[in-house]
Amino acid sequence: MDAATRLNPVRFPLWTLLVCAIAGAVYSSPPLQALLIYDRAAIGDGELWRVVTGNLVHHSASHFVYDVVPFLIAGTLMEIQQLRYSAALYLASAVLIGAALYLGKPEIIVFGGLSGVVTAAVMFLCLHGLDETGAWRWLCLAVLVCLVTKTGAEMALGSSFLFTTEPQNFVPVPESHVVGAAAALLLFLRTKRTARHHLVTRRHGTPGASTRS
Amino acid sequence: MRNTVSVRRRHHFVSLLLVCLAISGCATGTTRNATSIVDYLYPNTRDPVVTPSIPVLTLPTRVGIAFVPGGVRAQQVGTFSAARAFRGAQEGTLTEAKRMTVMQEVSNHFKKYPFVKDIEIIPSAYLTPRGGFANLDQIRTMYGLDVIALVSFDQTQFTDEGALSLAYWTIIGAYVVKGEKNDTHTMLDAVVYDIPSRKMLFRAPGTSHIKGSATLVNLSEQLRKDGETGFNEATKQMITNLDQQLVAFRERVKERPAEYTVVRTQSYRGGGALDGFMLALLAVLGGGYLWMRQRG
Repeated sequence: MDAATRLNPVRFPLWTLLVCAIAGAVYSSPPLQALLIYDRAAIGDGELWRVVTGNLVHHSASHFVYDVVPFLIAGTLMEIQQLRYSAALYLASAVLIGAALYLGKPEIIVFGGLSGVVTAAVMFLCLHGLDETGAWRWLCLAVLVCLVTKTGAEMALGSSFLFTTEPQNFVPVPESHVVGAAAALLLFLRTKRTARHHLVTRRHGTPGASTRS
Repeated sequence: MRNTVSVRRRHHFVSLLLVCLAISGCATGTTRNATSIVDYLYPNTRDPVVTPSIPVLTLPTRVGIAFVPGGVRAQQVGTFSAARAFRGAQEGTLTEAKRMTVMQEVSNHFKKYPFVKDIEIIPSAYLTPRGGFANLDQIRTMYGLDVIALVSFDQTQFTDEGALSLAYWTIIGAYVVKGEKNDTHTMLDAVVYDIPSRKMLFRAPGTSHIKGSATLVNLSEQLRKDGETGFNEATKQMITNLDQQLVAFRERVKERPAEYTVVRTQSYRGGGALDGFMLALLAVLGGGYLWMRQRG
């Protein structure tokens, strides 16, 4: 973490709080859940918004807490560090997760949960952390290794790595975490390319924005 | 004398009647091959009345598909010119191999639905003619099915002059169609039942009408071809109708929850879930960030 970042005023985590607020509102309103949940049959009938909004629906109180609290932490860290593309990351990962489930997991009829987006946020945060200096960089590297190991183990086991919540009324879908991580990696590579492009144009005299706003 | 005249007139009248009947007998050549779901499910009742209970649909479900055992209603009417037509029609009867092909086609189409776990194609040998629900219970135990689609067929080929009519006897009643010379009428009817509750969930027919183009020379061959084409066309239409009826049934289940109980098994419902490990990772990350920020 460079000195400039540390001295920057903390930015309000608008997008993260907005997503948390929507997830909370959806959880407290069953009609909204019915309208927004990933329902394979309804998506097939043309209700395409469910591909994205399914990520905002949770099946139980513990499911909600275990998804939204990590999202709040990861999203807030991302936004207060003034990383750009938070909203784009949330949207892109949600779309990719929904689409991947629709195409690759036909046995899942109903899906809900923000964990794939959380994985995307943590991955994106840690990948950017690798560009930093000092202890923050090593911490991000350690978390990244843990995250990749955990996701790999989940895929191998076909279940959650350490699923410590009480018995749930659904099956965990670790594929959503893999897709979330892939979405973060793609966006990270894209932002790096954009940053490199801006650097080149700035060297030639044209001012451009960096990856931090 | 008067009596003799009267008896002669009567004889003439009876002879005339017999001649008329004989002529019409030559002209009414009809071959009909049919299986009936009503005969199969309700063999001993004139007015089938079964009180179904509320079906419990466990999703995803295992579905069976079978042709109702047949042959009992196959009939041939007429002589003379229709004789060749009979042979042709018999060759065109739905053989076991063809039945399997039709069922495979239906199965391939419906396997894509996520609420369908498996589709078991049940050979005709496993179904006893007039077996009723007792036979279905045996099949249910044997294959572990919840729901079964029973397919019946009715194919009629007319080889006479003039208009005739025939009635397809379906699970919901008779369906009357007009017949003309060398026409081939085919009807496939799929009825989907929840076996434990005896409840009919939905049905979908597929019909085909092939206008007769055969001549006396190629009558037998043409009728056989028409028979095959009729089954193919009816199968396609039945699949389309099954799709539509399935959509309508899903709506009905949503609208009338008192009439259908839907149980979703866990594998049906997925969730993106995190765990304590992830929470711990993020706590370390967040704590580390705050610590470093405070240290400046």
